[in-house]
Amino acid sequence: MTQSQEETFVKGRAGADIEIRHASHSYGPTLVVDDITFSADAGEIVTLLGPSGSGKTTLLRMIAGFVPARRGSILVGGSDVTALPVHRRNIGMVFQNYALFPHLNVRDNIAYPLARAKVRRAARPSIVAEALDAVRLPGVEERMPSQLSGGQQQRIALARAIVNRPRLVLMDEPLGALDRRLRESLQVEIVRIAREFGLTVVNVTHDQEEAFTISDKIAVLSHGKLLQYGPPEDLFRAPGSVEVADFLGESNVLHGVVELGREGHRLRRGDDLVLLTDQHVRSAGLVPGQDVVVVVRSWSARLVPLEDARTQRGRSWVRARIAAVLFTGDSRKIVLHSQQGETLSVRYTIDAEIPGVQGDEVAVQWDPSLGVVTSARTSPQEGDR
Amino acid sequence: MSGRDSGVAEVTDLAAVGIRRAGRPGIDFWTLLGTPAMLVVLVAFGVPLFMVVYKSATDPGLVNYTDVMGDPVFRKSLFKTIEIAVAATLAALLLGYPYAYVMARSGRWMRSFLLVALMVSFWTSLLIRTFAWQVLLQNTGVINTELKRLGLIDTPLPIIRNEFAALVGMTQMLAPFLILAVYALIRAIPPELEQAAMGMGARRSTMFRTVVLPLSMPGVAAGCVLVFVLALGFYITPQVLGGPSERMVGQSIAEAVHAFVRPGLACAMAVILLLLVGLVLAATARFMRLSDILKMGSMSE
Amino acid sequence: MNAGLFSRTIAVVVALLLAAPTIVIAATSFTSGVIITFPPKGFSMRWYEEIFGDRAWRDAFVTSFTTGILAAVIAMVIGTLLAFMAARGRLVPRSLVATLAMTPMIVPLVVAGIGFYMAYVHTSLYNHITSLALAHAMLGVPFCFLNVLAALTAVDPRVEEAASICGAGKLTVIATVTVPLVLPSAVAGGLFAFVTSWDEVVVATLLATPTLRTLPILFLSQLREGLEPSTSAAATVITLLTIVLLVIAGLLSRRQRGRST
Repeated sequence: MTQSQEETFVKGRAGADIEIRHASHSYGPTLVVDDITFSADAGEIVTLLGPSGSGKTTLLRMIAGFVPARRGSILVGGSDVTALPVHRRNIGMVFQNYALFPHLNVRDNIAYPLARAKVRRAARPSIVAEALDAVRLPGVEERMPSQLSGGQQQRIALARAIVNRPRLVLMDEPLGALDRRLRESLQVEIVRIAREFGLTVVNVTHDQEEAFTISDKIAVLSHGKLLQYGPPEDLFRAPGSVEVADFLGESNVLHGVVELGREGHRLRRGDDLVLLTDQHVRSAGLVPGQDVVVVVRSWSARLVPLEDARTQRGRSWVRARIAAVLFTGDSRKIVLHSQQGETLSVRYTIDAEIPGVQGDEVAVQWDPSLGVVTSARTSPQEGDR
Repeated sequence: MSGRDSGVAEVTDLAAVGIRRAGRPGIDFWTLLGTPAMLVVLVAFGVPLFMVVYKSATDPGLVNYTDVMGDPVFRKSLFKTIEIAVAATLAALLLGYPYAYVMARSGRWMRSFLLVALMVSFWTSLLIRTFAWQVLLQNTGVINTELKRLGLIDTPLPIIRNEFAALVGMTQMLAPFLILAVYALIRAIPPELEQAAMGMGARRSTMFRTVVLPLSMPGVAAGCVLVFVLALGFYITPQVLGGPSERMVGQSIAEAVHAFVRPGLACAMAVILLLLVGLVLAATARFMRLSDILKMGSMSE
Repeated sequence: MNAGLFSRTIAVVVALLLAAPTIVIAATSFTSGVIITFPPKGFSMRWYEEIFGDRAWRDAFVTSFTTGILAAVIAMVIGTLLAFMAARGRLVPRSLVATLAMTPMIVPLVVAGIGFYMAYVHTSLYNHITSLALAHAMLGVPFCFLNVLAALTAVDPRVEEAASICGAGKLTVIATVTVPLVLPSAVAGGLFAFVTSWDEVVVATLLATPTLRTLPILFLSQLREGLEPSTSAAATVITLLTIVLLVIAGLLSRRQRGRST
């Protein structure tokens, strides 16, 4: 380390870019991380999003070096770290349960990476103080971790993870143990700190809201495979598969066979009118007679009276009966049963007027371009490639 | 996601956590470090133990065992040991169970009082407690002197140098082990369970018989085994407090060693005592985990 | 749900029986008379002055204390290493290590004592304090083993991972995180080992020589000769040290528990 880096907690030294190439890991016969490839620029916040068992945590632990990569490689700042032991990777990490050293006070916790990097003893206290300022928790140097609240402990863990200005900061469900309010305020903090110090962050979560809030890029994982990777907006607008769409928010899955009607391509579904846009036909290569699924987000669909739906042009709709109207705190959820026996759901804001009550027959209507179409025969991830 | 998937996640996480469990076979760091420690225990404890067994059969030969078993004094001490151990275990159970129950089910003051009394006695060495009982029980001891002073007796009560004194001493020393074993289990029974039973119309005795007793049984079993095994090895207390007929196997062994005419004889006796303990533990191991009993022995001392 | 009156009465009586011996001994040690009486006659420290002035008691005290410290240190090192081996070693099955570490606890003292005597009598250790310390250390190993094993199982693996990602190599992780985290338990185990040695009389009797006598041995010989208030004073000193050490051990264990949660 050069003198200046040793002496202060330099601002502006940015994190490095990261590249994952064909990373794979198996446990026994099960491939838990299956040939994953993606990259992120320096200073970006990437979130690995997926349900439990999707392999996101294992992938993060491979980047950290706790889990060996059976195949593939991991590059940080252009250099291959795959074979490097954990302690030589110059990576910071925040754990879900904080993992602070219970026998050390806050100062020694944060100074621990400095001590390992052989930073002069006399220089450490001021660097620790700067790191504490960065996480907005100054003056707690003498406290023991057990004397701090969960949110405070996580700030200390964050300070410890960034005090050495690592090339990369990993976060393993960092907010999972905290309550909602604290989670939301710390999400903002994480983004602020990452931007302020130009950190490259790889974050793991199963909470899609958190993923959307903090990420520049999201990697959606399922069963060890990378389903889709890209900016949150892209994922939300154009989920590449049913699974991604389903995971990125509550949605309705409609099955049907493609047919060519007066209006163009549509699903053969009795009374219902499920239109397929030219974009759908082109990108999914749809042909008449093919089994497909159309995914419609609950927030994208509206309820209209059946007669209105029949007369409006250019919009898809499905006939369904309202089974229940639920109040879910921040919104209303209308649960319906379609004629085909599917259970559908539509979301309304609390103050919106709902055109119908339980037992009414209505049309669930949406703009066809908001639906996502994939072939039903092949599995979604294969269809994605 | 299905349960199977989260199961996979757990398994992989366990594997992932293993910076130490996973990896190559062969000698690892901790095995390397622990091996000398194992060797020290084998040499400093294993070898002596082996010598006892070896000498008992070779010095001069297996005749040691026939001689020992043919010796009426030893045979008598063997039976006496078992008899006293059984009696002390029963007494410890009868006195210790209510103690543990009250300690688990009463207010702060009562609990603290009982806990302090228990710890004070526990932390006083067996030898010193033996001495104390001697002070209390002997003819010119505290009890007899007081009773005489009060004019209740003329001649000292025969409360020392007999089986009674030996049993009093041993019970007092062994009861704490049993109390702690039972206490741990009764504490684990939710008091609501007892309230529910009483609420449903059970009488206190019925409730106790159908709820508390069955649930605390493992503690009773562990405590009794522990106390019994410890009692088998006792000898100084019965030697000091008991009469000539309260002679335990341990005493025979110690005397045989000190006389040292035939070391093999002492060894044979020791092996017989060891077998006795082993038999009890082996029988116990069939229906409960030995480590649970041993943990109870260690939390106390 | 409170216990019934009958059981409460039994409990109180048993409590008195449990505590009585210790109280009687402590009280009689302060008598100003020449024989043991309860309640004691007057109050004096003369019997404490006598035992501290008596060379035999002083030597025995030093012998016991040195033996105890040595035994505790040996037991601590061995018990800790075995606990690490059981918890983290891969070669030897955990149950085998545990059996070895726990055996000294189930072998009756008199049996172990003969073994120690026969094995040590022909070595240069005999009649030296190290023989006794080594034997006592074996008796203390199970306590240290169990204590450290429990602490080790409670150590959060993520904390060790955090250390390694902070730049600590394997040995540094052990030295700066793992060992400090289990140290209180190891010390508590060591204190148990010390007390075991401090109170132990059966093995000590078998390994004792006229020049190697611990407090309990001296105490036992006085017990057989006749009772004096000085015996009470010695007993009180022994017990007091035991209680102090065990309270410290208890506090250490509690602190450990507080951390791991």
